[in-house]
Amino acid sequence: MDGGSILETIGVEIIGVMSPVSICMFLVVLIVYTLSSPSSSDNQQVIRTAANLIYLESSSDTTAQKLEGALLNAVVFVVLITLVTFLLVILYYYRFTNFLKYYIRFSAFFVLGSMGGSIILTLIQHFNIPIDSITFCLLLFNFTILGVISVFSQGVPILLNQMYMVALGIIVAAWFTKLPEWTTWVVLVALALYDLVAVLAPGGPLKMLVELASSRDEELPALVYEARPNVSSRSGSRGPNLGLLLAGFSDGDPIELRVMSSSENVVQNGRVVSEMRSESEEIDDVREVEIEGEMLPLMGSSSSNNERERPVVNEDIRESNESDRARVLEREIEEEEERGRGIKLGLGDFVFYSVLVGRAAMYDLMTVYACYLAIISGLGCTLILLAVCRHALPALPISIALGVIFYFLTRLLMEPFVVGTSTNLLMF
Amino acid sequence: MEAAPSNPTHNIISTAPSSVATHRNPLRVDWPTVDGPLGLSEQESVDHARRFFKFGFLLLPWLWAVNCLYFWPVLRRPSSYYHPDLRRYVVRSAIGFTVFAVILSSWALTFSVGGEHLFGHVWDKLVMYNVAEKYGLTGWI
Amino acid sequence: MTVAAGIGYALLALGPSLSLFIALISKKPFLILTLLSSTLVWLMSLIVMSALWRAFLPLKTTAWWPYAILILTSVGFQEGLRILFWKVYKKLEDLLDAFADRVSKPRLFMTDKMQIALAGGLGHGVAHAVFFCLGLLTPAFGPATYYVEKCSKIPFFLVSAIIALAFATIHTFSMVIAFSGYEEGNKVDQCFAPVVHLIAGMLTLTNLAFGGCMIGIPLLYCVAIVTLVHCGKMAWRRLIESRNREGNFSNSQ
Repeated sequence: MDGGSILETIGVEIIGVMSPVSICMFLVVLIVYTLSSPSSSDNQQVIRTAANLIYLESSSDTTAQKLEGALLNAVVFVVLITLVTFLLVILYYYRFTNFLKYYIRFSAFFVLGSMGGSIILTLIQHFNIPIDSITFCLLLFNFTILGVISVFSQGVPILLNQMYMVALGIIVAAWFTKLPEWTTWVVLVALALYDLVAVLAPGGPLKMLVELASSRDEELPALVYEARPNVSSRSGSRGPNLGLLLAGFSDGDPIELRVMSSSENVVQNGRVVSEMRSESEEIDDVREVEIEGEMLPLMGSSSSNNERERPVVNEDIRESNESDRARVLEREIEEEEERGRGIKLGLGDFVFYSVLVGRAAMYDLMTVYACYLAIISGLGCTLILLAVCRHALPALPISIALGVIFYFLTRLLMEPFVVGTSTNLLMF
Repeated sequence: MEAAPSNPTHNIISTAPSSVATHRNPLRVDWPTVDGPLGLSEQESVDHARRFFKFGFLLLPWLWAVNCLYFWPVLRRPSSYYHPDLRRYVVRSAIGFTVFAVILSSWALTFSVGGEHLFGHVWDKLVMYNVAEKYGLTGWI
Repeated sequence: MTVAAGIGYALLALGPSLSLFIALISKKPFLILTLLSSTLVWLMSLIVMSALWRAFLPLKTTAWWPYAILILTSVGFQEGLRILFWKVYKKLEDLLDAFADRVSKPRLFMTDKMQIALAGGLGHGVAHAVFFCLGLLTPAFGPATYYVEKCSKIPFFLVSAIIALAFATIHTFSMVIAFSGYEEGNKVDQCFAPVVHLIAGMLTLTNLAFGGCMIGIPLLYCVAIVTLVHCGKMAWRRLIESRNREGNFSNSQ
């Protein structure tokens, strides 16, 4: 305990969520950048997805047409997603959990195998990598199957699971960047709004789903990135659950601050109906802080991964903290180790953050960086809110709003300014 | 308590206060997986390693690799440390993956380095970007 | 070659910052958060400035004084933000100390405070390098390069990378100086950062003249080195002082 500066412990969980999101965005930007830079002309065929069922944008349309078509697309997309989510809730309500799991495994298989394979093939073609088809098929097969296994099963390294989650996010996001420009923006905004409603409004499908899952004390049947519950490197071989176990040993009330956000992100692509490839993506995120037991003081201290959230928590619990002082002291070691469950972030957030950044990458690097900062800070705000509110929160709205605002500000205001000054080699 | 020093699986954290140590003593500290207590227990591990090892024969050598990575502590420690079956499966997975990796990488390297000189016309038919073009597999972009 | 050149320019501008990030910042999550927020602050200042100047751009004149006003206002605005940043940081520090007491960890050391200041400064520097150099680097990955008329000996990207490196250094370390100046109430250090920032900004005005970059860039590097040396001296002095204080403290016990 001594020697370690407090700087090393604060914000571990926030970074634990931010770094995979950053990696995902970075790789998507890299893919988009390498593959779309040489000839980003009109000759690429537009892919029909669930997100542009109604209207196919072409660059010759007027702005009004584009806006109208994009709005229609977004409405249809959101309605589709809502329907699918309700279907999911119904299935989950009637305990078709296994069906859902197999379904998600199948979609993971499809995403990794066909969509991922297609992206990898494009990369191979782009760089002219002389790999033979046998090796390629074998490796792709292994990659896919391992991904399917790692989605829900217990017996894979956590790191592998996280890597596959990020990979799924990258693949889906890379596909989504193929949407036409106007549709992308409108769909992103619409999804953020939908997310807000679905998670927070009473009767929202995701809210229902999360409540259902928490009342059954089950994991959500969805694709969710889960941050590693504790940094095992800090406590050596003794891991995080030890504190939990110990607490169970000592007096049987598990200290558990479960910052459980779950997104359910049933990537349901795969209906290749005639020429129409519909990949509707059902993506949202729900975050839930579930408090079990009455151990508020410990939760306060074990969960305060961020100094900004602390004062609020602090005031909440000051009184009980005083009374429970002895108990807290007794459990100081556990406190050290038990830092709450990992924060869960829906894969949908990964996807749509990356879509935004990927779309920005088609314009300029400057917008990419501005959008990245905006999204990350939005995510940070959401995490702080999560610590304050302690129930499921949508992760898309703040980030997407900030991202879109910053994109247009950068593009419209900053770009001419910066280019104007720095081509004169003026800097400050 | 007296048996603890002789039994390697019951390592006591010496720095822990004695009251905590009595709690912690019955808990296993040496987990067979890299994830420590978040991973599987030793009993589950044996079944799990066996399953992964068997499935690896279905042209899925990456499962062997995962087996090795996941049970890294088993590979590292002396053989008597964990359940003998567990170690057997993990070591076999390691061997299997090594053999596979050597064979596949030597083939792939021969293919890519040797190129058309070595394989002639077959090379053009086998190389992936031609195959992808032929069947129109690159839907993206 | 072209991709290599692009990466080379990027590394030239950001290499030192990157190594600083990996060596120091990335190990401490809180510093990463500080870095990100400071970068965001800088970005917002840039957006506000560009919003103010949007109506007047692009400047048609070749006279230097509009640019001088531009730089003056921008620097003034950013220095104002620096003071704001300090105020926020001060509040944060109290929170951190209170938190440290709660989890019975040591309070912030002086080195910790310096690291926070460094992270904040690095955020400014990185933001500068990214927006003024990396943001324009996209064409550098392509098959051609670009020369500015006024500085025709060196490719534009190389010049901007070199200038960005100097500015990243200045921003990074002047933040440390400014924070310690605020903390100690040292007027010289408090004024050091704005003055250096302004001088550096004004030095880039030389680039408007033909061949001016040949003079401007070495001078800019002199300013950067002065900043670096001043920061090093200050950090050294404070470290020695705090060690002496600790020594006295333990002796007296």
